Amino acid sequence: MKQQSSTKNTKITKIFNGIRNYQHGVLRSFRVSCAPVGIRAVRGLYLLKDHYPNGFKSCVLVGLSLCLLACSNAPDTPVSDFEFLTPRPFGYLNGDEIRHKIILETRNGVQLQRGGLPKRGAVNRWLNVNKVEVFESKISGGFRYEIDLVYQAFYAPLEVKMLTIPSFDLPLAQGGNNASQTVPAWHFTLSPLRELSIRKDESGQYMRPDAAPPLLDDAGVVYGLWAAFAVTLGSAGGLAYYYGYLPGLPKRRVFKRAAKKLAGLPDAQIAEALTVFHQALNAVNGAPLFQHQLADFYQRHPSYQTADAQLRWFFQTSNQHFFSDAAPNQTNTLASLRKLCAACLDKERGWR
Amino acid sequence: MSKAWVLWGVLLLGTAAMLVQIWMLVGINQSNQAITDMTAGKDVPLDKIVTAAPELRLARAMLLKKQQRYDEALATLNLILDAPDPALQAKIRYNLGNIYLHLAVLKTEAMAVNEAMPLLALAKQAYRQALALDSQFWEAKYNLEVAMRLLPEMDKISSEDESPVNQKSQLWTTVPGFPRGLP
Repeated sequence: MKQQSSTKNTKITKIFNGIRNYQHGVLRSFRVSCAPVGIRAVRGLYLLKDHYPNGFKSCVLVGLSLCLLACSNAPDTPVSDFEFLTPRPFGYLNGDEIRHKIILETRNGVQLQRGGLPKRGAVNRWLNVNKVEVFESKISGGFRYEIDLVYQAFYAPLEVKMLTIPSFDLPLAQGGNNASQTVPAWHFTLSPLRELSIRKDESGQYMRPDAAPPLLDDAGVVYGLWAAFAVTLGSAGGLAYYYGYLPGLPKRRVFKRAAKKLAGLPDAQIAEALTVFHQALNAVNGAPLFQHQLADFYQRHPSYQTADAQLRWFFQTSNQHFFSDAAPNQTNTLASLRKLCAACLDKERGWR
Repeated sequence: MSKAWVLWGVLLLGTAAMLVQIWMLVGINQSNQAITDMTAGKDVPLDKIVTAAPELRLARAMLLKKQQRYDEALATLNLILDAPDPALQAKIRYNLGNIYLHLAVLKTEAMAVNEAMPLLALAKQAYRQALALDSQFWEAKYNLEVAMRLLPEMDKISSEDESPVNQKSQLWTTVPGFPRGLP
């Protein structure tokens, strides 16, 4: 059932294609189709039954023999479909291109021999083949070929003249067997571009003037320039962001300012250094930050979690310095604090 | 820190690309100015032409034609016949055909028929090549028809003698001259 529907759809599509081709000015289309001869034979058999009801059995035997004979002959034709699509056959001028399309469907694996197609170049004194394109696809039992041919006519008639694109054969082959499908000749009329007697125009010339030399196209270079400009601007912006020069991003500069202050402090001023870093952390947190709040801080600023060990060291050092009676170990404290500040600077820029 | 170096690298490359594009843009503008000058009939130094773009050499050839230096114009055009742009190539071949046709008309008017015939054949060939590249090139169609009227090809079209092997007898059809019509 599905197959029947598919066949019906194919037929409807072919009818629509035909209508469309006519709408596009295709004048004619040659079609060769092998009729279902077997079906016709069976229909004849039933007609015989109506006329000779008594001798029906003998009629069946004769009919089946005819049917088998018909079926055995039908698939011998190598071409199941041939269409020659051509444009309007009038209104052409010297130098015009003419496009032909050939649709060929073969059966039993018969293939088109492409060597037999018209070659690019001169067909005769006034006709050239400019393009030959073949599109091949497999269909059930054979192949479908779409052949696009573009001719160009170079002929200067004195009046409207009928010309003919010559006929040619499409060679087909299957194993050692050869066949051919004839593409018919095509007639069309070609008109002159100018009157018979030659007159000079206003400038005293017989001919059309020279083509003006075109100016060089700078569109590609201008696009390239804009692209290079965009890349340069983007990288400059990235660098400005990296170094904290972008205005309107104060939070991005918290550790930058802290790093600057820490760089200016001498080793003895540990308290000031710790205060500077506390202020920086408080600014990022939006409120004073204590060691027991670090987990909450990491939830809101996950990038700082990788510096957890250093931050805990900072809070311990701070606690020791400000709240412990024991003398804190101040060796390399400021240097470590500067390193921690640089790490936090990278994080506030989003680099690490 | 390494990302900063990458950014610096991109910045340097972008700046270099910008400088190159600006340099190319200046060159194009200079060439276009030279084309405009030559179209207006003003000559430009030859050293700027030798290695220049085909458009510039086409302009130079047209200037040479205006100055009636036909051989130099033909030589210049023959050097740029293989320009990469098909539209430009069609124009070059059309202008080449125009020079041959112009020379052929001059020879015909001077009754030098034998010298005109090869020039007309060359003109037709150039126009055909131009039309093969651009079949909508109306000026080329018109001038090809002029050339074909000058040197008609009037053997029987509808007969079966159209194959290239049967084109030996074109005796009277190759005498160049315009049909002047009735008085």
